[in-house]
Amino acid sequence: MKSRLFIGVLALVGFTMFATSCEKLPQAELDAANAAVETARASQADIYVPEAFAALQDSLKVANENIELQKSKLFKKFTVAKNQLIAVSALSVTVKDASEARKVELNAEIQAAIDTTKALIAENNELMKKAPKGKEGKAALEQMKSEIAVIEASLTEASNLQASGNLLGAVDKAKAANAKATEINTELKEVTAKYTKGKKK
Amino acid sequence: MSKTKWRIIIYGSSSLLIVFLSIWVITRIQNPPLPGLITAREAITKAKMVNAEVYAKSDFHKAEDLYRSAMRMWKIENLKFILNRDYSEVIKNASKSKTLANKAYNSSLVDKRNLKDKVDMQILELKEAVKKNQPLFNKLPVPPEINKQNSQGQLMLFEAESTIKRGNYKDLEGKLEFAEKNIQNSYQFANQLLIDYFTMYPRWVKQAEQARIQSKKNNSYAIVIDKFSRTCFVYNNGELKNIFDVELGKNWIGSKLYSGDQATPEGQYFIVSKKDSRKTKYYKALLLNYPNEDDKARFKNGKDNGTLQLSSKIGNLIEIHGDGGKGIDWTNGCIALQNKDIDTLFKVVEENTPVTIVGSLKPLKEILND
Repeated sequence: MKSRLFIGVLALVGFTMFATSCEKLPQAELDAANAAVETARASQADIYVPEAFAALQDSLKVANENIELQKSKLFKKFTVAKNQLIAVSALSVTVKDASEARKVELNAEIQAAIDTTKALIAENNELMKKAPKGKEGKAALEQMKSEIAVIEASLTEASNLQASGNLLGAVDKAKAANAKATEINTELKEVTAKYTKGKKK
Repeated sequence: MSKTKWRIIIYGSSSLLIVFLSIWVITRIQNPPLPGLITAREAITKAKMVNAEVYAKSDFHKAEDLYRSAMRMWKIENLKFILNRDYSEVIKNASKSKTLANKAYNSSLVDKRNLKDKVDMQILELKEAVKKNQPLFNKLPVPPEINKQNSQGQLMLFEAESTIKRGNYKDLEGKLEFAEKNIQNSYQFANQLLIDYFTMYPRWVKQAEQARIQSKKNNSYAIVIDKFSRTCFVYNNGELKNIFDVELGKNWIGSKLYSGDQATPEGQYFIVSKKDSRKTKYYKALLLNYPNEDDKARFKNGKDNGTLQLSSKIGNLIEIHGDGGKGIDWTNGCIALQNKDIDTLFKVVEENTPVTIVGSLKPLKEILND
């Protein structure tokens, strides 16, 4: 009788142990993955590498779905979800780095556009000195002067946007200013060439 | 009954009970709502890839909210005892989320295409307007603020194109509106300037015809300057002998009103003096009788009615001279010819040769169509 009771208790303990032997929720990995995604967002990955960031968010959702799936089961196994969360954390770093790299790239593009535009403005101002002038020395290139003034104002705006962190707005402005300055430069070179040719005659 | 029989009954019924209980538990446990959530998530991702959060904002955000809500509900249900879990609301929300995400995807595709078509058309029209109007606009002496408006508009057009290259159509509308407003305003100003100016057209044609008739009548030379086409017509005995290109004062539209306005006068004049290279710094020059009586009356009128300052002076020394061929209007009101052309003219004209300066010999309609 005693031995039966012992077997019964042993079976109950065994079952309890088996039932409670499920894996624990990978909370540390989940917190780390959430924090890593937020770090990537803080680096403005959603703006500068939107597709990569969307993929990252998707990966986190997949991991969360997997966690809930395991929680829905009688016998939980979080190994896959845990590995997915570790992968999300690693991917977050890659996305954050890509965002930072894109920002560096954009800053370089903005600076290059601003620098070349400034050089073009300086060249344009020189060309305007050589361009035809009136009897009393008054320049006859009012419109170009106005255009150059507008370009200079646009460069200042581009720098301000860059400083405020709006790199996409800044790059659009700087590139537009560069294109317009190039157009004026071509026009001025043509006028000056024509004038020089006229003078030689 | 024997002890063995009792055992068989007890064990048998216990086993049956366990089997029935197991079947009951298994049928009571609901399947996790994963498939519904996966399709919702995939639909959201697909919509995101076509910028649905921009082009179909409302539906896209609702889809995301419903997905989040479904996940939250799933979590809550998972906290309950396994037999008490009910995933019906989770499945319902996931399904709604998928439907909305698909709707957002479809409307985003349509909206993006429509917006792209609209923007492309707007840019094309603006570029056409610039191509058509800018050459004429560049010739007109418009005020600096109008020049600035034109420049700002064109620069914004460049900026809009730069934004398009990034595939961003939604941010364009404000930029294009600004560009269009500034460009069109500047052209409207220029257009009105021309319309006002060309009210004098019948008079110009009459004056030029009079010059030709007089040249025939007197068997003499006559010079007609068409300011708009920058052309000098030389007649002898009523016949056109030469056509030369000319360059004018910077503010060439309208009559000369006062000294220093950089305008080339309009009216009927004659040559009062021929200056060879010793008497002018512009190679050779033909001095005109500016100001004539009409100019003096206009100047007096301007001072009397306050359109001219009392300190203004009427100006003088308007000439047809050399050193032209610079390709732009550069004089302070004189008419510049290339040296070879002034040589030709200098040989044939004398003092008292009439010089008629008009705004245009072509009607405005023809100029605009050109």
